[in-house]
Amino acid sequence: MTRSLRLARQILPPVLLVAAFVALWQLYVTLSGIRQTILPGPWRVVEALLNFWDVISDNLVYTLVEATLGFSTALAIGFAFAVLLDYSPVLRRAVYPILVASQTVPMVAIAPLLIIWFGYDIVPKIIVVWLVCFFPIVVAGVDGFASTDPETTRLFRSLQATRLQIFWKLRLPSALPFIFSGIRIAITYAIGGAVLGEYVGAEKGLGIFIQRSKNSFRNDLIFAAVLVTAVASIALFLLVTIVQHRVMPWYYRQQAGRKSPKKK
Amino acid sequence: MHFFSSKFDSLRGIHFEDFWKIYGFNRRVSGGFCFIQIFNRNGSRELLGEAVTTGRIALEGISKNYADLEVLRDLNLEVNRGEFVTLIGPSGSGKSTVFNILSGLEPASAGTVKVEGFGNERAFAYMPQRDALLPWRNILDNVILGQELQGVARKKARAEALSQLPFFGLEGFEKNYPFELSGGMRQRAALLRTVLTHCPVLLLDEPFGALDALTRAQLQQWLGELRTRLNRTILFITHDVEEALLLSDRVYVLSPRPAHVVLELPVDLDRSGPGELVTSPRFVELKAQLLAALKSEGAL
Ligand SMILES: Nc1ncnc2c1ncn2[C@@H]1O[C@H](COP(=O)(O)OP(=O)(O)O)[C@@H](O)[C@H]1O
Ligand SMILES: [Mg+2]
Repeated sequence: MTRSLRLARQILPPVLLVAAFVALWQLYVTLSGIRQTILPGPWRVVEALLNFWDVISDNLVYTLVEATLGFSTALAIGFAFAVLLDYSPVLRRAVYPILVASQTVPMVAIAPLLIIWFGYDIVPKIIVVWLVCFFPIVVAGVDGFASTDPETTRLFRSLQATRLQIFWKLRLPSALPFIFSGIRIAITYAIGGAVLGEYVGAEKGLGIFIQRSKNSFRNDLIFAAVLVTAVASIALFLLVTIVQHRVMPWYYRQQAGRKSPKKK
Repeated sequence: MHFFSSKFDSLRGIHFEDFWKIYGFNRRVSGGFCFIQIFNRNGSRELLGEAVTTGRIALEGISKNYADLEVLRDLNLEVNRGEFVTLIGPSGSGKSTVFNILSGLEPASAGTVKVEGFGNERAFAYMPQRDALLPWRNILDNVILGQELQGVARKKARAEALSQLPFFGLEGFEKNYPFELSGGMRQRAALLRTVLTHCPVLLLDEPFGALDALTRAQLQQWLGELRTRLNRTILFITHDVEEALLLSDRVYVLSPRPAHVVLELPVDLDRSGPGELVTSPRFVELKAQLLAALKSEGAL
């Protein structure tokens, strides 16, 4: 199968599904005669998006900056944390349950507190993004390191590898597929987190844009902002996937229908 | 010891360990052998001559317990330089544990391992039961792992590995990932990785255990031929009696846990002779002896 054909097979089903959904939505809005201020049709949403593109893109940039800053700090600190927990079993046993428990605290409860403590500027948003991204990255890292094959570890030890060599040449590559899964989850949460942080109180960003649109009964603008949020998240997700292809070509070659082994 | 100088004829009776006390020495490793330059200790530092050790690994009274589990009990084994020695025994008897102790992965609970005449180099290279190739490295970078971890420059290690690939049936596959190779090729790659550590003793733990019968037979034949070229001491684990006889100079039969030696069997087969080895009368005889020893211990 050629590369483009495979790509088409991957992309076509979701695209068709979305198209069908949009068509049904438009059909419903047109036929039922529901007021567009309650439920705007997809066409109306696109119109709103185009008319307000200047404002929306301006806010989008803000949200993206918050999301990427929060995400990258979560990645750096989360990775370091995972390494630390992997290094020390005692620490892992102590911290891991707390980490899991922390996920039961709803972010909507924390976000307002952060605003109170850190004000209306960018800092509390970055913290919200950081909080939602940190957990999946740490868990993926810890699980990934733990997935290292024990027999291969013994091989390294029998070859007198240092701890550092075992980490760089064995544990880290073993963990990479897990870490990338964690990163992909985190990155999809990142923009949602930023929007949530803004929603509670901000000067700029898609979250506060949605808030203002709601207050002025512009449901079409809410939908437009949601659309932009979704597209931005998907774009970031794809970006991570591309990076993953670059970093782990072997992984994809292995996945791509394990070619028939060349016997000799 | 084989001495190259007639001055040492009188020394032949002296025990290896005592020898070092009487004479000054210098080690020189060359061509896989450890040459020893011998000096007089009486101040003159006169070079008396050179000797090459035959080399010997001896496990003396090795015992091993994991908590309450007694795995090895007073195990005595001896392997001479260049020899191919096989440990055969039932599953779970402690064969792999012997290798773990030799390669320094586990300490023995009691007893000593003596490694004589292998110079100062690290003696043992361990090949695990499964190939343990790294899925993210191509074959070339997999087989140089041992040298890379020792700090040898990758470029140099790769060049050497490339020159060895043909003998391991891996030529043209250096850029392939392990999952793209057949099981037999992966085992050969794992063996090459072990060989390239340049350790004089190879510890091969059931290297063909997971292969289909045909591939297995091919690899046995191949290893038998490769052996002469490798010029290494090989300790081999299997639970296949025929495999043991086909490849080894000597076979130790181990009992079920706690393992001790039940039988030591020199394999005096004429491998160069005509005809099928496995159907030769001597082969059948040795096989019967091995099976009897295994049976007597309730291993079969
Ligand atoms: N690290 C370990 N801790 C506890 N028990 C072990 C450990 N390694 C091996 N054993 C036990 O020791 C016994 C011998 O194992 P092994 O040497 O692998 O047997 P073999 O290679 O002969 O099949 C088995 O019962 C196994 O469960
Ligand atoms: Mg074993």
